[in-house]
Amino acid sequence: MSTILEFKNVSKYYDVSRNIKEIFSGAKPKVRAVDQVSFKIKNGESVGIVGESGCGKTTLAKLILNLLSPTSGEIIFENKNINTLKNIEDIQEFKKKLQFVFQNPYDALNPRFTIRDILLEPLKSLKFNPSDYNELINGVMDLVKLNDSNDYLNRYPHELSGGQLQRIVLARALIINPIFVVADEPVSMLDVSVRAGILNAFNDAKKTMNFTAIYISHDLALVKYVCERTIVMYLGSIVEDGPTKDVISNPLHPYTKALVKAVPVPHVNQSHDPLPILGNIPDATKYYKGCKFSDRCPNPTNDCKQQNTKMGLVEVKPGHWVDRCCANCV
Amino acid sequence: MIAEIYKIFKENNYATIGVCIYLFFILVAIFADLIATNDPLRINFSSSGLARNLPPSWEYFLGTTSNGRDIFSQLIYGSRNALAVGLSAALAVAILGTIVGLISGFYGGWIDNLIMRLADIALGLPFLPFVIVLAAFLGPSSWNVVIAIGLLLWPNAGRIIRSQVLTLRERGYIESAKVSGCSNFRIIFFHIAPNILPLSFLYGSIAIGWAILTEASVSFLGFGPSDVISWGYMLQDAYSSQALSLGAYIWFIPPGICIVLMVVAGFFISRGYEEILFPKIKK
Amino acid sequence: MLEIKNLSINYVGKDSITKAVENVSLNISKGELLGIVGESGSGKTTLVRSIMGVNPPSAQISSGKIIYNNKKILDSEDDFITGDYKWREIAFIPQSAMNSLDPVYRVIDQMREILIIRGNYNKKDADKKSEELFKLVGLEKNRLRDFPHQFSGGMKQRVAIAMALALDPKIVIADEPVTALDVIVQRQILDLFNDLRDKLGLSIILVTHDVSVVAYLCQNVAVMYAGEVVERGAVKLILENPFHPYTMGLNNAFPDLHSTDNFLVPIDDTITNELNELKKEYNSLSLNNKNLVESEKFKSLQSKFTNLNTSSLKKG
Repeated sequence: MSTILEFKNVSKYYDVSRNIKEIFSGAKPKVRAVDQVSFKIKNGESVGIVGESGCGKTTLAKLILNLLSPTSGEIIFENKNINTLKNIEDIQEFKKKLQFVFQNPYDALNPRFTIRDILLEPLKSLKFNPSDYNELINGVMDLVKLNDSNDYLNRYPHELSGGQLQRIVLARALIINPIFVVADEPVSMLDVSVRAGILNAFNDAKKTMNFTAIYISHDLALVKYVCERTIVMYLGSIVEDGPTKDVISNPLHPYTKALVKAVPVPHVNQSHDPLPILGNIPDATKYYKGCKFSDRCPNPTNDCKQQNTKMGLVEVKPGHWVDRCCANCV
Repeated sequence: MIAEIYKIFKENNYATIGVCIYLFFILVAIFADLIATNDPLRINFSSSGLARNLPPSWEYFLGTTSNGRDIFSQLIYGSRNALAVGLSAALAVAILGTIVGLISGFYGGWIDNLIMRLADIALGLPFLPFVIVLAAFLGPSSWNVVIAIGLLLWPNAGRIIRSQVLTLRERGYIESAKVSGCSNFRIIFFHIAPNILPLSFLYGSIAIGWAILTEASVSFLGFGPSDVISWGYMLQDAYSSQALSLGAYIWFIPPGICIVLMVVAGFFISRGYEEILFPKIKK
Repeated sequence: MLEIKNLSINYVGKDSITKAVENVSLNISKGELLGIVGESGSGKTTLVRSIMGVNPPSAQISSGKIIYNNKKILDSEDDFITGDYKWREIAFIPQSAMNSLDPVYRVIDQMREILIIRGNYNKKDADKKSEELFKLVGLEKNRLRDFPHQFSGGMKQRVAIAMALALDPKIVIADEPVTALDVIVQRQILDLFNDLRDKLGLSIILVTHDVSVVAYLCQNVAVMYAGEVVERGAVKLILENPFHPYTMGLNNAFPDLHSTDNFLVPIDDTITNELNELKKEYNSLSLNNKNLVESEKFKSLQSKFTNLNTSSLKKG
C-alpha cells in the first residue's frame, strides 16, 4: 500500500496579543497549535486522531484540507506538496479527492438550500457532467440509507433531525467520490441513540467506496469502533501512534494511559482509582524546553525537563510509535 | 420563499397594514389620471375670478391653493413622485449597501478597510447641505434626492450587512463550499447573499420612508423642482402662502398625513421581517 | 426524602400540546446517587426543572405532585407551593452552568450574591464560607478574585458546583454536568461528586444522556424515553439485565472501549411501534409485586422483549 498523505515536520503557530510585561521583555508568545508533526498515511487506512481540546486536532484537519497554510513544514498529498499548487486545475483536482465531514450538522448546511441543492453544490463547483447528477444523487442517498419513501431531496435542513442532517453531510462529502475523507467529531453533537446509525453508515460507506479516512475525536471508544490505527495528540504534538487495539489495551505513553483509564464504560465494575496524571491542561502559550508532558507525568525523570530533545517518534514495537522522551520509560 | 413571506404576513398584523398602505398608494399612483379630477398644475378660474383658497366642494374635493390649483389632484399626483423617489432611493441604498457589505465582509483585509473608510466619509457628510449643494450644481430636480441618498446612506445598510457576512463567513457550510472547490464569486452570491437578502429588504423599506421625508424637506426648503408636484412641494407652497394663518388646514394636513403614512408603512413592514431574518434552524 | 408521584407535564403551545413528562414516579433517599438517563427530548430536563420550579411558563403540570420531606412542593392543583427550599435544601446545576457565570463579575461577588441574599450571611462570613467551598471542590482560594474567563472549562464547572453547595443543600441536581468536558476532566468532576457525597452525605441526581457516566458514578438509575420512565432500578441490574429494548439499545449504542464485540445497534424508530404494544401489556402488570418476577406472564414478556432486541440486532 502506498503512502497517500505525508506530513513532514509541519507546524502551525499563531501569534497572540501581548500584555505590557511581554512587550517590554521582548517575549513573543505563540500558540503552537500544531508543533512539528510528522506522519504517513497509507492508502485505504482509517486513522483516528485522538486528543482533548486544545491539542491541535482540528487545526491538523484544516491543514490537511488546505483551509490553512502551515507556518513551516511540508504537507504532501499523492506526492505533491499541496501548498505549492498554483495551477487552478491542480487545485480543483486536489479538491475532488479530499472531503470533510463536520462536527455540527446544524451548521454545516445552508439553511436556504434544499437538500437536493446542497448535494448538487459540490458537483456544480467541480464541474461534473450535468447528465450524471441524478444518478450520483440517488447513489449517495442509497449509501447513507435515506432512500426510503420520505422525499428528503426537496426538504430544507430545518425540517430534518440531527441524525438525518449528519447523513446528508456525509452524503455531500461522498457524492464526488473522494479518495480521502476527514471527519471531525462527526457524532459528538448527536444524540446517543443516533450515533450508532451514523457510525455504521460511515463504516459501510468506507467498505463500499474504499477511501482513506481520518477520524478526529476526543472519544477513544468511538475511534476504536471505526479506526484500525490511532494517533494520540497532546498540545500540538503526536505522543503515540499505533494500531488501535494495541494503543488501547497496551498504551505506552503516560498520557494515553490516563486517557484510556479516564473513559467511562457502560459497565458497573469500573476502576475508580485516581488517574495517573497530574494537574490540568496548561496554558497554550507555555514553552517547553524538554518533554511537553513532563509537568503532568506521574514519573518524570530529570532528563525529561531539561533535555532539549529533538521531537519525534520512536518505533518501540512494529507499527507502534511513541514520543522519544517517554520511550525511555517504557 | 414566497410561501414563507405570505405566511408571515398572514400572522403579523403590522406587516400586513404596511403592505396595504403601500399597495394603496401604488394603486393611486398608477391610476392617478383616472382619480384626479383636474390637472394639478392648472390654475383654475371660477366665475368670480381666480379660484383661490376655495373651501372643499364637489368640484375641488379639498379646495384650492392660493394660486387656484386643485389640492386634491395635487395630492393624487404627488403620490407618483413620492413613490418614484422613494422606490428608486430605496433600490439604490439596498443594492449598493448589499454589494458593498458582501464584498467588504467576505474579503476583509485592505478591501474592507478601504470600503469602511469610504463609509466613514459618506456618514460624515451632512445630508441636507449635500442635497442643497447638488441642487446648486445640477439644478433642482427630484433626482438630486435619489443621488444623495444613494451616495450618503448606503453605509447604514452596508455596515449591518457586512457584520452579518462576517458571521456567516465562518459557518460550516461556507467552509464546506470552499473545500468543494466553490469559487469565491459563487460563495458570495449564491451561498451568503440569500441569507442576507432579508436584511437588504429591511433597509430598503426603511429607506423608502426616509427618502420621501427627505424629498419633502428639500422641497419644503425650496430646493426642489418647481414643475413637479410632490407632497413636499405642497407643504412648501402652503407655508409660503401662510396657509396656517389663513386657517387652510385642508391644504397642508393631507400631504403631511400621506408622508407620515408612507414612512410608517415602511417601518411596519420591517417588523414583519423579523421572522424572515431569523429563520428557525430546527423546529 | 424526595418523592415524585405520577407527575405529568405538558408544554402548551399556540395550537398544540406536547407531552413532555408522562406519569413519572421517582424516589430519592439520603446519600443516594441517582442517574436519569435519556436522550434529548426524553423529558429529563423538564422533569428536574420542575423539581426546582424553573420551567418556562408554557409548561403546565397536568397531574401528580412532588413531595420533599413530607411537605408538598409541587402539586398539579396548586402549582407551586413554596420556593423556600430552593438552593437551601435542593440545589440545581443547570446544563452548561459553567457558561452562565456572569463574565463581568468576579467569582467571589457571584458567591456573595447567593450567600448574602439568600443565605443571610454577612459579607465576612460569606467570604469565609466561599473559601471553604472552594477548598471542598478542589480550587485554590486565591482564585476567588478571578473572573470567570480566567478559569478553564473544568474549573468553571467546579465553581458552578461550589455555588450550588453554598447553602448546604441536602440534594444536588446536576443537568449534564460533564457533557461539554474532556474525558480526563470529566473523570475528575465525577470523582468530585463521589467525594462530596461521602463527605457531606449529599444526595445527587445526575441527568445525562451518557449511560457510561451513570455506570461510573450512580447506584440507581431511571431510564427515560419519550417522557416516561421505562426502566428503574439498581445500575448493576439494569445494565447487566436490561428489560426494556430502549435500555438494551442504550447499552449497545455505546461502544465499549474494552469489549471485543464490534457492532453497534442503532435504536430504530420502527422498533418502537412494536415496543408500544408490548409496553401496554407490561404496564398492566403491577410493578410492586415482588412475586411478579417469577410469574409466567412476566417471563414470557421478557422473552418477547429479548426477541425484539435480537431481531433489531440482525437488522442493524
